[in-house]
Amino acid sequence: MELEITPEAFYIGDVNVGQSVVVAWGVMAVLIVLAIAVKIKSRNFTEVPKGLQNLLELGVETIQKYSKTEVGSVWEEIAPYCATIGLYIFGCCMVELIGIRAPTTDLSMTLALGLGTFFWINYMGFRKKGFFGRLGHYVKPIPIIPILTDVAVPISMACRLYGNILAGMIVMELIYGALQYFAVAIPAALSLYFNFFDSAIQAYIFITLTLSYVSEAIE
Amino acid sequence: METGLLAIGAGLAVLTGMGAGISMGIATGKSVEAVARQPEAAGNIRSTMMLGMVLAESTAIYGFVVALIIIFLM
Repeated sequence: MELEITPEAFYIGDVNVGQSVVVAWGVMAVLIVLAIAVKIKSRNFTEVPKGLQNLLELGVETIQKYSKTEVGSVWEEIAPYCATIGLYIFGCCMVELIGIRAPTTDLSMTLALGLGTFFWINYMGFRKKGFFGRLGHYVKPIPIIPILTDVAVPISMACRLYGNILAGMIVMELIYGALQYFAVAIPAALSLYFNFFDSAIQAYIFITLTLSYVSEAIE
Repeated sequence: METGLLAIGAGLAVLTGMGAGISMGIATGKSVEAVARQPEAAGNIRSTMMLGMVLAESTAIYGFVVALIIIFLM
């Protein structure tokens, strides 16, 4: 059984960009095309929703309502970020269903997502509480300790996403390795849990943690 | 010799899963109690339990990542 936790190399010219980056570009392209298609389709949306419009409105309203209950007043800015990151993580994990290694099993990508959340936490904190108000948070009970807790946020979020998706992938690899030539219907049923359900839960968790950290920063 | 010690280390790192399993069981049990007592608050209880379980689970994930690093990168 071949298994590596570092992603494969992929050369463009002389530069090794890594296979996960190329797959992530593919996922981005698909999502952008879908977004443009929805934008074009939304021109003939009516006041009373029907068909596809129903589904889209349900999704948008759910994420807006959810961010409103979590962060309160700044929900309008954070809701699009949450929807984007959720769709992106879920899309990246779904790549595994067609046999390509998911980009979320690369620690650099999950760390990049974690740093995005870190940026949002600090941006919202600085905007909502002012420069010195936010700095005051860093020295409040004991100096330096809050800085360490804040630095741990992107690392823990990155490790959580990476570890969960990689664990699902390794379990699936083990099942395929154990069943050998009899791997017919059983991996499909297990994949529903390890690839589909796990990815959906992780995308939801990433959004929830982003929202709760932001609400902690602005209160 | 050295490979055997690495394997023991990886196994010890994965033992973090024990604590995570116990804590997730406690969280689920308590939330079942809460839902039985107050069925109308089931939605709130479920989302709070989900968040707590994920935070408890992350310790197991850290152990798992450490074990992977020991196995593959050392």
